[in-house]
Amino acid sequence: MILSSLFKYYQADTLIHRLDVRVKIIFLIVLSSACVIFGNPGILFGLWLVSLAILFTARIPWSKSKYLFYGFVFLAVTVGLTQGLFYYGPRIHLIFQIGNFKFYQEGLIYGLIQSLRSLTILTAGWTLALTTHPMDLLFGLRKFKFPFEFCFLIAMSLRFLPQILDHIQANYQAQKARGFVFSKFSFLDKWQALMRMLSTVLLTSLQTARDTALAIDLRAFRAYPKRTFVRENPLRAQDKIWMFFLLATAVLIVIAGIKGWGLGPNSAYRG
Amino acid sequence: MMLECRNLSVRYPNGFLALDNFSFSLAKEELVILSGPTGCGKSTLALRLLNIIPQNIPAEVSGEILLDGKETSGLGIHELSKRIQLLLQNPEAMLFSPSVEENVQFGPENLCLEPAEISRRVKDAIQRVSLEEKKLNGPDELSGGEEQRAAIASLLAMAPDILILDEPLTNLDAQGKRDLIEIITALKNAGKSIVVIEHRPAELLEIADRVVCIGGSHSPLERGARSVAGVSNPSHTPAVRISNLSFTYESGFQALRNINFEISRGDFVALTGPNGSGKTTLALCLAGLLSGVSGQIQREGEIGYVFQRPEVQLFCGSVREELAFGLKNRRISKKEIAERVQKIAQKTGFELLLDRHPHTLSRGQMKRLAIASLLILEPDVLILDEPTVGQDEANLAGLMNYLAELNAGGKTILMITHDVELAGDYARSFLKMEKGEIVKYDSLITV
Repeated sequence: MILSSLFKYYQADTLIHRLDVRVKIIFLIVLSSACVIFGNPGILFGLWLVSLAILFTARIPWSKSKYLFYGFVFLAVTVGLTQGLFYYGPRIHLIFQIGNFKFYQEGLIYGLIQSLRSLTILTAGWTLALTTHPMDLLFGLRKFKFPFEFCFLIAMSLRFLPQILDHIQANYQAQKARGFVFSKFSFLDKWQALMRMLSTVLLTSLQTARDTALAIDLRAFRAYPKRTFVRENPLRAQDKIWMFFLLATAVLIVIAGIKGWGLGPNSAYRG
Repeated sequence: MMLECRNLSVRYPNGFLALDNFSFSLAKEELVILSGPTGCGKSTLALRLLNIIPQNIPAEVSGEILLDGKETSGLGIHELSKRIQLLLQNPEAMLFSPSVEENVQFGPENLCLEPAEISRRVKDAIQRVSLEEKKLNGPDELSGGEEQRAAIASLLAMAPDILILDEPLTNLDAQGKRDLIEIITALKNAGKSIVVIEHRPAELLEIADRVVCIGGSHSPLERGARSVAGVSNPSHTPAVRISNLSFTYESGFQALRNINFEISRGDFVALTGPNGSGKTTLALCLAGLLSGVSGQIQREGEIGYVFQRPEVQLFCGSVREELAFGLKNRRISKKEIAERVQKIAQKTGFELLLDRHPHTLSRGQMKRLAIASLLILEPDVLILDEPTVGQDEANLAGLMNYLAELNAGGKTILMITHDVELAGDYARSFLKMEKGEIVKYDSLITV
C-alpha cells in the first residue's frame, strides 16, 4: 500500500469532480448539520448511504478507498461498543453482563448513533478531499472569506501530508532492510521503532518546512499588506442550482430540528 | 560588476566558520560555477547574498555585499528577492502550491502586480522552461527534471536579474540534465547573470564563463577503481536470478513488466534509465521490501539495500547508534558491535563523527552513513540507489574506490545511477530500464 495515495486528489471526470468547490463545502456543512440535528438511527443510516452514494458517484477506486474505509468502520465499531459499555444516560434494558461490565441496549443505540454520525461526516469529508484539487480547495475557502494565510496553510498541509506518509513508509522499509522486522520483535522494541520513525519523520518534515519557509519568503509572501488574486471564478448555472437545492435542504433540516422531527426513539439519544 | 562581495565571513552560533574572508564578483550576463567540497560554504554564500543570513538564520557576519555598487546590508529579503532569486537544493520544498501554475504565480501575486502583468509573467516563465503542457499538474505528478524546471519558472516570474542555482543537476537523469543545461544557457543568453553551485561541474563547463572554487583547488576526480582495488573474479554462479518479475502498485500503475535477468556473484552492475523507469521499484523487489510481487526472485545470500534519500533512513540518535542498529537486531555481542562499528567508521571516514546526530551531517555524509550502516551487516549483494548524489569529487572517489575494493573482495554490487560516465568506470555489467522493462543488458560475464 502506498500510504500517501490515501489522501491524494483523485483525478476523474465525474459529476462530483466537476462541482464547484463552494457547492461541495456547503454540502459538507449541510450534511454535518443534519448529522448533529437528527438522532434517529434510521435517518442517520440514510444520511450515511447518501454520503456513500456520493463517494461511489465520484468513482474512487476500491483499492484506494478500502484502507480508509476499514479505518472508519473500525472507529464506528469502537465507538459503538465503548458507548454500549460506558453510556451514562438512562439505562433500562440490560443485554448482557461480563463481571462488572454491563452492556445496555440504550448505550448500544447511542453508540450506533454516534458511529453513524462519525461515518457520515468522515466519508463526506474524505470524498471532498479526494475529489477536489487542493488549488480549488484553497480558492473555495478564500471565497468563504477565510484569511488567505489560513487557506494557504490548509492547501500546504494537503500538499505535504502525502509526502510525510511516504517518509513514514520509507522509514519502515529502511528499518526492515536492516533487520528490524516488526512482527518478530517485542512490544517494547516495536514502541522504540515507532518512536524512531516518528522522530525521523518529524525531523525531515521540519527540514522541509524550513526550506519551504525560505522559498516563501523569497517570493515576497506577506511583504505587502495586500496581494493580488488572479483567479476569480464565478459560480456556473448548474452550481447555482445545486447551491439553491442545498440551501433549501438546510432550511428544511433546521425546521425539522425546531419541530423535533427525527430526534430518535428517545431524545436523550441525540447526545 | 553587478554583484560583488568583499571579504565575506560567516560564523554560525555553534562556532563553525562556514565562510572565511571570501571575495567574489559576478558581471552582467555572466555564468559562474561555484564549486568546492561538501561543507565548504557554497550554500552559506548563497544564503548570505540574499541576507537570509543573518536576517532569518542567525550567524556572525562580516564583509560587504554590493549590488550595482550599493551596499545590501540594509535591504530586506523581500527587496533583494526582486533582483536575486535562489533555487534551493530541494526543489520539492519550493513547490508548495498545488499546481505548477499556482506556484509560478504565487510570487507575482505577493508583489501586488496587476492580474494582466501576472498572467504575462506566468506564461512567459512556464514557456521558458517548456512546461506549458504540465502547468496544471501537481508537484507529485512531475518527474525530477520537471520539478527542477517548475521551481526555476517560479523564480523567473519574480523577474530577477541574478539567479543562484544550488545543485540544480543533482538527481536528474541524462535527459533531465540536458534539458536543464539548455534552459540555463537560454537564460544566460537572455541577459540573466547566473551562479551555479555544483560539486561536480564537468557538465556545465562548456557554458560557464568562470569556475570559482571555495575551500581548496578544484581537482578532477581520480577515478579508476579497478587500478586501485584490482579486478574481481566474478564466479559463474548467479547471486540473483529473476524470472518473469512484474509489479503493479495499488494505484494501478504497473512499474515492472516481465523482467528477466541474472546477476553473477561478484559482479558490479550499473542499472541506468530515465526517472520513473522502474529502477527503484526493481531494487525494492530485489531487497524483498515490496509485497505483491509476481514472478520469481532467487537470492543466493543476503541483500542489503541503500535507499535513495538518506535522510528518511537514518533514525538513530548518533552515528555510532546508526552503525550499530542492524547488528543489534541480530543480537550480536556488545563487544563485537563496538569493534565492527570502529572498523567501518575508519573505512568510511566517520571516526571523528561517531557521536554526531546523523541529521546534522551534510547530505553527502548522510548518504555515506546510510551505505556504511548497511555495509556493516556484510550483505552478499549490495544494492545502492543513486549513491553518488550530493557527493563532492573527493568523497565520491573515496566512496567508489571503497565499493570497488568490496567488489574485488567478492561482494556483488548493483548500483542505480544516472551517471553513465561513472558507471563506465566501475561497472562490469550494464542494465538499462525504460517504462518498467529491461531494454538493454550488456554483461562482460556469461552466466
